[in-house]
Amino acid sequence: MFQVLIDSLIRAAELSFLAVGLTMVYSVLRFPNFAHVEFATVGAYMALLFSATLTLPLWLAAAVGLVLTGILGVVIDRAIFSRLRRASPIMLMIASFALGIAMRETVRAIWGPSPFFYNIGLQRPMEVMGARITSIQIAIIGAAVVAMAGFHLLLNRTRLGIAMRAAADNSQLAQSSGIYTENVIRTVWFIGAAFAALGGVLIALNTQLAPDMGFGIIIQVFAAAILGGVGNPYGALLGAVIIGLAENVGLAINWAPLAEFLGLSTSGYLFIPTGYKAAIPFTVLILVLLFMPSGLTGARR
Amino acid sequence: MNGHPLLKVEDVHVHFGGIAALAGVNLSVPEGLIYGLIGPNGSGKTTLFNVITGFIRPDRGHVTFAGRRLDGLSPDAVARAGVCRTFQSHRQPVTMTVMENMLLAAPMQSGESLFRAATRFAAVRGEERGNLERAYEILDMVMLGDKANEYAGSLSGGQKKLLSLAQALMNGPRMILLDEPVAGVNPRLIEDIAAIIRKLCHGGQNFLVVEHNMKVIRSLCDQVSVLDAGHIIAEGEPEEVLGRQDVLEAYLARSGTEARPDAVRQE
Amino acid sequence: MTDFLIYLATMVGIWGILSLSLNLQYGVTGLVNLGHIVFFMLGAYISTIMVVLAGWPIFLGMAAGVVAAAAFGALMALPTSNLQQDYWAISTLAAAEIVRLVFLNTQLGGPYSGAAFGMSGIPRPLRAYFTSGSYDLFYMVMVLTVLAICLALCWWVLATPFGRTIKALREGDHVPLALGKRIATFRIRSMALGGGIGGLAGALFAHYNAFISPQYFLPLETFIVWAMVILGGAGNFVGVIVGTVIIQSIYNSTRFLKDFVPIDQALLGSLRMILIAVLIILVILYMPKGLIPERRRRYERPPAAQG
Repeated sequence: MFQVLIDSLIRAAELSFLAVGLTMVYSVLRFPNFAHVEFATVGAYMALLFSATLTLPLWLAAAVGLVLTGILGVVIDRAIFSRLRRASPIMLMIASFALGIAMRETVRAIWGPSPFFYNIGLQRPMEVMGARITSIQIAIIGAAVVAMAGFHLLLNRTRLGIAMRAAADNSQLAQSSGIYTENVIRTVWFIGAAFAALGGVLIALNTQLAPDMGFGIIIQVFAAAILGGVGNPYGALLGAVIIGLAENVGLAINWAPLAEFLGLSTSGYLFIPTGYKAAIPFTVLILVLLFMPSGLTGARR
Repeated sequence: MNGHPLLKVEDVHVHFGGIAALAGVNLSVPEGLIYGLIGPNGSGKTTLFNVITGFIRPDRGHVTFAGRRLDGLSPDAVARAGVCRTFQSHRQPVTMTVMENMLLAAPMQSGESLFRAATRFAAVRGEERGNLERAYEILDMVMLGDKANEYAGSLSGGQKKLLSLAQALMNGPRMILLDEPVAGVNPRLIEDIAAIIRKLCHGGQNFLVVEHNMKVIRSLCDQVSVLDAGHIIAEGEPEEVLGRQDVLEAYLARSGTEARPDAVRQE
Repeated sequence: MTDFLIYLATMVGIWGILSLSLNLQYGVTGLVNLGHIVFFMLGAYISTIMVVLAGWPIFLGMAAGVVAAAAFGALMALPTSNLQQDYWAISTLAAAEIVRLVFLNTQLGGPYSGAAFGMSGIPRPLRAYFTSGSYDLFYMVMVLTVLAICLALCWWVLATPFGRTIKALREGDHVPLALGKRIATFRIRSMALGGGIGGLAGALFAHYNAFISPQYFLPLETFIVWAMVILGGAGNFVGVIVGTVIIQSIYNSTRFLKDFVPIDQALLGSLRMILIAVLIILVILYMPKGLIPERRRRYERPPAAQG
């Protein structure tokens, strides 16, 4: 069971980077950015590019990739979304869907469909309380904790962070009262994209790089953000933990007692088949939307 | 009050968060009148409209219309019960033409069921034709006859107000609730709108009107109630009510001088 | 070349039906369905299951596919009144993926059938009456005829009072509610109708392609349908068919180009998707109403009300 918790925690760390950025952009610009997860893919591949071709150490390559992905986020906002500030959210949604495809297919066109790995050698897992965990995985959890602490300080201790929260809480009010709203929007894009890139690097470290690595977890990321209440970065963090747990614990639980309680006959064992792992966050998302549309923290409305 | 009230609001309470928007409102609107509902900004007029028409569910209290309970009904059910409202801001579908908006408003169209539209082709066609004739009559009356095939989005603010009145008429309700029918409308058109409403009332149409323009309220309404901070503080004939000291004070306290009921606003 | 054009016309027919159905849901009713491919998938799978596994006649199997897709459409419409538009859109994406996961994880008719293997050997209707050369031509004519019938159906729906009411819903609930419309049932019927038409497209695809697998029904395919609607002009049924012709031409050009251009297939596949995606972004930025904007419906004054 400890192994399940470790796996959940790693998953939560990966998801949280994407969910936090998504929730900020969502609340400031009032549309779900379906291209957000592609920043993870782009960031991961950029890190690969710099570490493989320029032979930078991976941490440096990742840092450069992060910054460049952040800048890409700002450029994309300038080029596309800033022209659509008055358009209906539907058009923004569709544009972001198209953008996501363009980004993903560009990655596929450049690097091809086959997966890549960072050159970090074979990881030998350690035994911790009966669970197997690699040092990379410990680093992932550590990076998540450090980054979130930094993000917390940014939100609470800097002028920019306070402006960001104000913009998220009430975009219209912030627009009428503050001259720095466009500035805030730029910052939100930068941080959102860079955070997603970091998430992408961590996912690639833990598994592999593939053009679909971002889009493959889009529902998980949306589920985490909505579960936490859109516009609430701390909620998104909590949402990521819940989704991470739901995916891994959901598979580890023997559902037979519940099924028998509901009057179904089982052979004593009823596990969710691994093939349905992806369906868990989808189902959580739909249930949350049906019964708790403002999320756990009730941020929206 | 003469006879049975057509619309009766009893002890209605509405809270938003911890704030009481309506705190025990009672209102009796008799049949055959233009009834005014006035009050300073934020006094709860639109909230009361929303309660009557089912858009907000009251925390407590009842709304009765022609002997039938309205509270607890959904907005569409309230409309089908004979109470049709307009909105303060323009909400008509702007990518539909004026005529499409009008035909939309016709009640109980059998062609709204695709099955009947397919099987009773002639009947639905005849119904459409009847609605079209009636819609043109109403549009002519509100001076929008030649705009029938324009997009609703291309109308001026005043014309949009007229369209929402026309839509409400097309719906054929027993009572129409008008939310600020002349706000933002140019003065020439205000006269026309008021004349149309009066004419309709003579023809037997019941109205409940929320309006800030006191000149219009004085000339239009047979009775008014004054809402302040979620309470009805006065009711009666407009001249008498608008002369009362407590009504004046309510306005002075909340909206500043420009919205005082004794000031004639020039728009 | 002729073979390619017949294939392209068949694809335009099938995807045209699908884009008509999305136009009914989004272009007319304003429902942002990002899981539209689910109807295509249900139509294809249910028809295949009924025909291949249950032994139903092909056209009855297709009808079952249509009914299943329509029922799922109605189901998807249920939460619309309680959910904000964007949340509903996200949940449609998830709903379509859940259905795909079910087909991806379910074996149908034997150990190497269904699931990730897909289903093969799907019979083609009236195949025995044609030579292999003329069958594709026949299927093209059949599909284009069905497209024409669906177009006529959509036009008729739009002209009815029902069509007028769902069009009003596109711009918000308040006015239709205040006018006494039962908006939930209108949305459900619109989703069911669009779902059924989308299911028909899926059934036609399955029995043409003779093979289906979960790989055909990725979220990317939903985007292709959206691209056709946005490019052609949401709300205009002819427009979305024009959009279908353009997008399908780009999409299938790789089949044609591979004989002439020495370029890697996978790369070509990515390039065509980038082209479509960029095209859609440009349309949204510079031509948000699409190539053929929605038509205005005029109501002339009847003679009786003259003067």
